[in-house]
Amino acid sequence: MSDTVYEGPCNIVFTGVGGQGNVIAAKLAGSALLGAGYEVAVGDVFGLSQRGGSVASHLRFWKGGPLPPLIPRGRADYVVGFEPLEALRVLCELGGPSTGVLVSTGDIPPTGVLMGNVVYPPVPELIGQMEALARFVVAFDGLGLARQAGNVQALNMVLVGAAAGLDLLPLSLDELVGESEATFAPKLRSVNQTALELGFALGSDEKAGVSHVKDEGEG
Amino acid sequence: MTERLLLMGNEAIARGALEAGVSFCAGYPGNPSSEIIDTLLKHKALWPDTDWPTHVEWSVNEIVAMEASAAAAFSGLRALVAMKQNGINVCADFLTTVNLTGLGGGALVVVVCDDPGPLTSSNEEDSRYYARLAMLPLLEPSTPQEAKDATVYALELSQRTGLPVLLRSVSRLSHGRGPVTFAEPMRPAGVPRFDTSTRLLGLPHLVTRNHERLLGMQDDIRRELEVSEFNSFAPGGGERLLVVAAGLGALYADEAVREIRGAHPQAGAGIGILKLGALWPFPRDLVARHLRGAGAVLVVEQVEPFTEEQVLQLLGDADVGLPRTKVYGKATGHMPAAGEIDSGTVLRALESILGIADESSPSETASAQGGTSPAPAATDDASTRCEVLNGLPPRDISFCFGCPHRASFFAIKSALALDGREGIVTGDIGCYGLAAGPTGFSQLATLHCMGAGLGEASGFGVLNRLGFTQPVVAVAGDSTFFHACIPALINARWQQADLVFVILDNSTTAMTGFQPHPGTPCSPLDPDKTVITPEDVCRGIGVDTVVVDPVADVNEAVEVLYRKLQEGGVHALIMRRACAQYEKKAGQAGREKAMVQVEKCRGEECGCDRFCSRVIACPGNRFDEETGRAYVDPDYCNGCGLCVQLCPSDALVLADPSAAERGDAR
Repeated sequence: MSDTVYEGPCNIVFTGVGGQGNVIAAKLAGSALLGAGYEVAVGDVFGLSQRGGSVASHLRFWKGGPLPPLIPRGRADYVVGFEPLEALRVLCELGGPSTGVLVSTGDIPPTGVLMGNVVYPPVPELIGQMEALARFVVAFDGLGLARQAGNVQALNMVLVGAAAGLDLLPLSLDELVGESEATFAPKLRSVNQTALELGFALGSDEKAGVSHVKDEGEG
Repeated sequence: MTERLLLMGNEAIARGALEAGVSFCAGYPGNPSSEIIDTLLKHKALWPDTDWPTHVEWSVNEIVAMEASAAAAFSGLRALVAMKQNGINVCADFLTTVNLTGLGGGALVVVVCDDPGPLTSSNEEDSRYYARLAMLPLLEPSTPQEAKDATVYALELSQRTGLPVLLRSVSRLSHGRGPVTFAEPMRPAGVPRFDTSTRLLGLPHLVTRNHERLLGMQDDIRRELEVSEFNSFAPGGGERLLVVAAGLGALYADEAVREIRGAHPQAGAGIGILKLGALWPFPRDLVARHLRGAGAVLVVEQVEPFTEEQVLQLLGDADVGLPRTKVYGKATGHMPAAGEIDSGTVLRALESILGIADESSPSETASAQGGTSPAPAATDDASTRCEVLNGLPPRDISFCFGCPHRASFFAIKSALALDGREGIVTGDIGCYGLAAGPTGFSQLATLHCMGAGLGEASGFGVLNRLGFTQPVVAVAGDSTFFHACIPALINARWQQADLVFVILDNSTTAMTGFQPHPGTPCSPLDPDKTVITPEDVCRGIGVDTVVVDPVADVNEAVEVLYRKLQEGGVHALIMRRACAQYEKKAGQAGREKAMVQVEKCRGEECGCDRFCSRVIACPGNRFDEETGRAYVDPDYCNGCGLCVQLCPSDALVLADPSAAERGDAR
């Protein structure tokens, strides 16, 4: 143990709105990481909070011992956002100056917005706020890629694929596709595998623009 | 090497039960415990190596589940009962008598999943106190692997002692995932048989003797737990500070100490962690050994100071003879006395105790809930985050799109408004608890525990004799009805109360993941199952009962409820419509969806003030600011038709969206 910076696990938050599939995303990525030899913990919430509320799955991995399932405040390395408002919310709650963001730009208005009580900020404004707070932001039309794969519900696999393509997850496309075989029923496999591929390709394309020096500027 | 699988804590508990040869499992669904029984119901398909005869049931409530499981133990089987923290209260009467009689020859593990900083509960009770109250062994694992191993051990311990053994989990363990290595499952030995010479009787003249016997067992069990594999010590070298951490708290403490050691190696050296996973009878010798020589102590646990109180008691016991030692924890405000904790909470406590103000630590964003330790000054970056966060629109939990409760509560709200006597709605536990919020038109006046709504209504319903003039409507879901409402309904009828009992019947236990209950209709897969309908029960009690579908005809629901409110006596009104999510799961989602006919929607000129999106507040009902017209997002519409019925301009219709794309609906 040196007297410099604490070398913790890699911490990724998958966040969105209940029903978007963050639980399956974190479970699939976690299982693949376990298979690749990492120690893994996933923190999840089921139940009432899923009913249209903000949801977040915490994925933590490293080569050390058992990890608690919650990422401490300020310690999220990456936020993978299924929805821009929730991505910004989690970036504020759990992120620090070295946090990177991968976010799908498709918005889901909360009830208060539907009812006209509050206004949903324009998505470019939300992205701008993320850019001001994060080390990098990769924002893209994830729903478009999910539709292209055959179902908007495959957004979660688009994002897992993109996270691996960007090297946020140390996993190959093959490892993810292999894990998806074990996760999805046969009739859902081709849509989800296409979604993983489309996401992975997008992530790989964006990789050049993103610096991966972890914990930069801390300590 | 055996394969490690990523399992949820609840799945790991189920696996552990099977590895210990369980053959009887029961529970009542309640987050965060539901997946234990869900998994056990599927175990033969999930894990073919556990393919032996078992009985697994969703019981009607927790105490029945525990009593039924105990009967299996009385017959020599190994049994498991699972529930959330509220459930153990329901069981309390049985638990505090079966501890005295013992189990006969079998085993019973009672798994209780607590919900600190509740994610899905009406309290954050610490169930561990039941171990002390009933003098039963208590285990509190920290990882899914330990949860599995502790379940195996708990069943063995139960069989050896003849006592039920409690296993406490928390939401983050039950619903968190971690690596689990499987062991060979154990096939149950023998067939169940009750030895008729056995007497398990809670008779007054036997109680004191049985109580003494139970007290006499405590020391033996404690000595076993003192050396349990679930208790361990990680030294820091020359213990300046001893962290005593229970259950998942040990992992949070471990991470916080690691972080301190990284940032402050000198201060970080000399922090030892005593991890306690076998908690009751309290392993006092083990703890005393580590307390001796510790400069100070920090106790880390969720929710109440269960362990902290024992540490303080040990230090105050002259016979133990420990030196005066400062104990930090909930009593000193270093750990929150309410709400959930994480590594950051422990880190802040350690920084405060060690006198470290770490500029770069996560502590500067100071926990929003329950953080009672002094927070260091915020940096600019953190305060910016806080500012941005506070400016974001909240995302309140709400009824799902197409949820029938939206129509039911619209009917309740409308009928009470027509009635005009300031009627009150007593609530209960289930998805419809969300009716306290905007998507249920803020209708609920009370919400406590399973069945409380009807019990309260039974009281409100006789207050007219004392001058009370407000009508009362009690709501409860179908599963809640069977769980806890029947005695209250009988009481209300017997006492000749005036009330309307609205049963929100969506055919399933929706919030916890669609578990069946006695009223769940037969499915093609299970055509011969016994179905007990709420209307049969109500009518059997002599309660006048009407069934309506509030979604198919919301006006009828309003009219019936209004009429019942005007009559005296107890009335049941069953608002029956399957859960929208359950329908989706079952692949029966409606083909038609709501569509706005643009030529009929008058937008802001209508005078309805965007009735569909503002009032119905269904995620599918949107308003397009650019065109000034309402529209429906087909991705969030199940074609329930509530908005179609309620639009004041009749601008909405149900139509096949693929036909509509071709322009047919316009």
